[in-house]
Amino acid sequence: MRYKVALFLLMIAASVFAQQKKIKGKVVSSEDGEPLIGVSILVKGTTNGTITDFDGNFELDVSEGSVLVVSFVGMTTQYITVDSRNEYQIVLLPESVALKEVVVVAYGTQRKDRFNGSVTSVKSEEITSVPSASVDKMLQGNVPGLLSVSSSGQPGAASEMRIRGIGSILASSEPLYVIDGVPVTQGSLGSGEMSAPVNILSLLNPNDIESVSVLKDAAAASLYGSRAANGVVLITTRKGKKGKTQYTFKTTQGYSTKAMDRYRALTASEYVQLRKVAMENAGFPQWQIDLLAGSDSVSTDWAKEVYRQAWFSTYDLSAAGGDEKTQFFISGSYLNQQGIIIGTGLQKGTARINLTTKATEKLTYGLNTTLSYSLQQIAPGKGQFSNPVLAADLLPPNIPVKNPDGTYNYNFVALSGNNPVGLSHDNINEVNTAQNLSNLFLEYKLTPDLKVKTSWGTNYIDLREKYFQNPYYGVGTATGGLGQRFFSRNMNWLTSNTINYTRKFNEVHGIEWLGGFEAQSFRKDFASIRAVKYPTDRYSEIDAAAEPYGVGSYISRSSLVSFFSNVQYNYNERYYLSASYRNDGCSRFSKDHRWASFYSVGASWRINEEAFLKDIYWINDMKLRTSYGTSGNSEIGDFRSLGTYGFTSYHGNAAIYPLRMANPNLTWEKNKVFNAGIDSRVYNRFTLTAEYFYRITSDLLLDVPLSSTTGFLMVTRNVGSMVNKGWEFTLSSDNLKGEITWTTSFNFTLIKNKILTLYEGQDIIDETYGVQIRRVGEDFNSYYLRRWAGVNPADGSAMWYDKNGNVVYDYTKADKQVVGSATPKCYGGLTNTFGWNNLELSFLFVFMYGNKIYDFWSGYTESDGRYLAYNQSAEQLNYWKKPGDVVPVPKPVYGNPSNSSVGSTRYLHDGSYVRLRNLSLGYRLPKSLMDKLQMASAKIYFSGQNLLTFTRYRGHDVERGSNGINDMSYPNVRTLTVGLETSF
Amino acid sequence: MRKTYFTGFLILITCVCCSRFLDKEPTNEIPEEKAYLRFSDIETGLNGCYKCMLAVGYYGKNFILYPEIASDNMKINLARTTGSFQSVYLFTLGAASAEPKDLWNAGYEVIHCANQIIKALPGITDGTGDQRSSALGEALAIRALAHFDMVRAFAQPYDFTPDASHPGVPVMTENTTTLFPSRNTVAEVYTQVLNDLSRAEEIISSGGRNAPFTFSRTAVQALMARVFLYKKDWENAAKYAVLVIQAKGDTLLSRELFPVMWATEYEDKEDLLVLGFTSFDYLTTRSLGYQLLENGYGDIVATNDLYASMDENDIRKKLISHVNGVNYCLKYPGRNYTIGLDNIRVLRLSEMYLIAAEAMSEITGKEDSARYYLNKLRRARIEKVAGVTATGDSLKTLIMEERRRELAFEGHRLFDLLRRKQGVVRTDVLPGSPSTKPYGDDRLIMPIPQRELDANKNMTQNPGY
Repeated sequence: MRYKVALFLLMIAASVFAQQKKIKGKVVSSEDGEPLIGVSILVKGTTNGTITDFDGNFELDVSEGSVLVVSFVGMTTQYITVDSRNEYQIVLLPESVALKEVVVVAYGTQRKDRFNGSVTSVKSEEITSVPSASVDKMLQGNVPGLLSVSSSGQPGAASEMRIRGIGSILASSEPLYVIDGVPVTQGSLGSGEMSAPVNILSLLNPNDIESVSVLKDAAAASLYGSRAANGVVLITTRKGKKGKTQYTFKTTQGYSTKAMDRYRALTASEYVQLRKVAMENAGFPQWQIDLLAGSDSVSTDWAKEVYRQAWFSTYDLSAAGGDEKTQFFISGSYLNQQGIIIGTGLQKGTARINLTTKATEKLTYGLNTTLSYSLQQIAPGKGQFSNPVLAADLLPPNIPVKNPDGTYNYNFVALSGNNPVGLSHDNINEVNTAQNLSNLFLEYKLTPDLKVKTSWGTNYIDLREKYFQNPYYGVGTATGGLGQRFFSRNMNWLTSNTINYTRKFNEVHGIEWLGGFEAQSFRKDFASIRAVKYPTDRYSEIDAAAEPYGVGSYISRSSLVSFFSNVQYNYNERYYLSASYRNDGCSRFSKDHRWASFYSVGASWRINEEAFLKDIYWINDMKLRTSYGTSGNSEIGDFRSLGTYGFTSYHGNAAIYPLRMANPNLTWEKNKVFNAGIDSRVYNRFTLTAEYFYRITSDLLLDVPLSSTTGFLMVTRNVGSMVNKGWEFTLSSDNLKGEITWTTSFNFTLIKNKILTLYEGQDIIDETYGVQIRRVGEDFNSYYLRRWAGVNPADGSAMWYDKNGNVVYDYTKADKQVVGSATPKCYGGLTNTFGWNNLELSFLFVFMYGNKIYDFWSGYTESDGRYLAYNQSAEQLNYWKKPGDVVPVPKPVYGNPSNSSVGSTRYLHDGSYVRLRNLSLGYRLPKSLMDKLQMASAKIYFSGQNLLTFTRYRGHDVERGSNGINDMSYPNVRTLTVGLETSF
Repeated sequence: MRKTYFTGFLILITCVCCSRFLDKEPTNEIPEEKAYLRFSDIETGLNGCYKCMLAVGYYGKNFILYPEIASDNMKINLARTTGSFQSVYLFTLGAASAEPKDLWNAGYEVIHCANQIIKALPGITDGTGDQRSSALGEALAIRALAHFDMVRAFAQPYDFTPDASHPGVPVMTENTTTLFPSRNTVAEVYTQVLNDLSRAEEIISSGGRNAPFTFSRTAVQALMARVFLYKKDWENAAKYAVLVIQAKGDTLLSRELFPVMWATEYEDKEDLLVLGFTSFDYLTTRSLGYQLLENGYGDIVATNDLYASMDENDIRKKLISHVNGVNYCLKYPGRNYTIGLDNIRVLRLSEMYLIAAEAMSEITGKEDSARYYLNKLRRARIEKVAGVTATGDSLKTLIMEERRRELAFEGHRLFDLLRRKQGVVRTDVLPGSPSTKPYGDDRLIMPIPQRELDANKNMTQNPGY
């Protein structure tokens, strides 16, 4: 508003004749209203000026219409047009904090305005009101360029994180996570037996986090070399501050339900009726229909039986404080989260000590350590008959959950008697994790400019999985009860040693140099025990079983040695140059291909300091920056370059079988990243960052198909390449200041992925689901399906399109085509925060546009009679009845031999959505009350997650994995909580 | 301080780089150059060959069920179908379907394993000479079996063309780096199979290493009898079948023991080659038994005409459970009735009686012997059965009917129909499904898998796919 007034006044001023006069004024700080001494007041375009005195007052002879330039160190320069008034009260605002904030970057911290790379830093305040067990769920919508998809609502499950697109086909596309300087163990941590992946981030207490930095381009991430290709997420935990010890207690209580609920299965009467119609259409005689159609005397809503309202509670207590020499942060937390599916949940306890002590002027050392312990009850996933999500959709509604005598009913054919309600009580799927993450460091100042630092970190993750299938019904009947225990111990240690030199020469030449050496070693010890034939379902340990059914163990190791260096130069805080180099040696590759080098260069230009912009008053800050560099991806598994035989057994005797063809030429996937961007703040109100990125990944690992006559199906080679390019925008605005505050922050990412080369240009059909294709020129997640043309009104049969767009009536005559992709065209988030007195309201909308979801199981639930042993979707009721009907569902025929329910675009849906990810309303108790209670502060808040979803998609949940396929995974949750946070 | 730090730093770098810090080896895999160093490694490798045969796509399940479902012995149980084998039943397999792909991959994996052993054996110095040559015989027999199975599934029968010059499958006798072998003719495949088998017959020990779970000389001869039968070399088929029958003392299992046999590890009198699962690593819900049994998926069941073809006094009728008009197959009840844990019978004695009978019925003047072997088998199965007296074509028909009943659900039916130049005629057929496929129809053999065509530029597809 103020700039509009200024503009208006400027126009009036220009229209009147300039007249010399004496003006008086006072300059005060906006922060505390105190007068500012020594503020420079200069008439623009002249040498006429003065400075404020001890009381902040000044006097100056000026002509009306001239512009005063009011500037002071650390404050934003203001431009005031002289009007008819003779007295001026000038309020100076502190310089914009957004661009000057200090952010955590690779091996240190940087002032953001000096940094050439692309980094987004998220502070703890922005995320900790989100009710979730782990930090990865809190980042979506807050970081441009980061696509964080939560493919499972299982408490403690991981989100998939994709920074600037998908970077790999076979290897991992997940970023590198570095917690307090220690790269954590990633990849397969446990047995991989159940489809729930272990989420290392859920072991971290979100309230312990100080900030999360997402490193996106080469200048930011290349210093992590062979592991930086998919970006780096740096997590920094809270440290103590000197002063009175501050205790904080925080608790949240609430409950969760399904985030959206659009899917409806048939009721018993609808189901039986549909069966009758389908049998009639199949030409069954009436006596057979009477025998087979079933009765609808029992009606079970399996979804109601499987899903529930689930409780959520957390407790967190921390102490932070210290003196001049030693500072500490100590915290403990407990979380208990039920899953919205019966029998699932997470209980977690964490403890942390962060300690720093300055032993002498030169020597500082300390320890960051955290222990966490969690117990997770999970549900079987995907196509397993015991998957409750699958069961809720597929089990016929005309069978009861329990028998009249109160026992669970498992006497049914569909899903082989896997009653999900009974199984949630009588089977066990439990993951028990203990983790320690520690980092011991010592820093020594050799000279005021030169310091060395050594740090020794460990990450210990002990995973114990226990799976038990009861002997009486469900999956366990095949074995007479099956008990499985898996023990995985993952240990990684790291030594990181750096030397740091910072110096300013001749007032204008700033230099920072970093050199380092790092070695890290990973080891996984795995053991498994299985036993069968249990006497009862009451005892699930292996001791109770009659017969061993298999044991196994292995040790898997890898190691990494690195040398790295980084140099930064700036001239007069105006021109910035940087370069980095890293040389990595990795045990995963053969001796000849073990070492690789990665580098980056970056530059930026503080353009508003230049003469041609310096006087444009509405530009507070403006910086152009660009970078280019390389990085690698070595997350390919430990021994992929070796040709090996695997061990097995044949009828009780040892046996070996060929496992993998040797490939001594295997090497890292390489990333080349270009980035260009602009950071600016204008009118002291708007902060805008816009960036363009172009990321080429080459030497992509691909399984090159071999003729099976070689004895192998494929060999892994570095043959592919892919590009991810796009734009990222972040705009934040202080809409209202004063009594009512309102800030808006909006970020938006436009992204395009394209495969550039594949082995001999050959398409790769995704074998897991068979509905996607990797094809040169197309997006990585492209769907490759026959196009559905609807239902023939004449006879109710299915129709498809061939490649020329003609309607065909035979499935095999239809042609598979690329029909969209699971990759969104754009995504982002919008946050609004309002403040009024002690009230604060904030909400975050996240959105995704242009992605498609494939309902893999619709072939069963919308089967047009083919799979009527299973319940059907309510969509099936709108079926063809008589010639002329224009309806979406073909004529149902029992055991339908037509291919209407075989994969086609019929089951491909628009996955675009807007979701109210988070809403929080907080009330800070007044200071007067706090003083009476002798407390520092207290806040009560209400918080909700996933409260609203706007989408055309009609399945269980619109948020699916990054591959877009709905494979009966655990739906996301809507959570409502109230919280209390007190400090004293 | 400064000095200490730098010294420490340098020591650390030296330690890490000079030690074998970056050399890591797997603990649960053997690098290939270390796989075959001693004779015991050869035995381990041979065991691996049988293990590979037990893949779901091969003898573990699909190769047993495919010839039964793609013919008239089995059908889909519509009330319980999980969708599996539907395209087999409808003859709509495509080049991208799992069944041909899995069979092709497993078959050539077995051949690769056998070839590795054949290549490694000359370099082995421990073990006795007899042991080593017997191991060579075993590897040759394994290689022959896999080639024979591939050519049965992916090519038209031997006499589809007069000189068997129609395309078969690639013959792999060594593991080459030339990745693009083309298809040999069916005649060439049979020649290679019979060469391998006759060499194996010479050198393999009569008892085998661990018979019936590994090849023995008797098992090699039994396989030769079957190959000759498919080749319509009636003299040799009869000769080898009789050799095996005599080696086994010309006695068949009693009527009491026959149905029980299916739940045992193996039956010494009957079994010639059995593939054995360990109780540790059988296929559970993906197994043959789980697919067929009523308390498993039970979605593949016997046809009514097969059930009806069995006499009430026929003990084999006990191996089908007739529930509400649905015929569940009970030939795979699980070892000691552990559902899914079944050993797979590849070659058994009763088949030799049928081979002997069939071959002799084709040789002029041997019909008496043919009837002898047929009646011997029938008496062992059917209580108080009268002897067969038929001659000529009606004798041949009776032998084929007997063969259908005896070897039902064991992976023979489609191949038997094809080599007898009969098509598939289904009496008990599901609504909307094909009821006949005449002999010579393209869809009666499997398509060459698409991934093979993609990876191997010299590979050609079967007509009709």
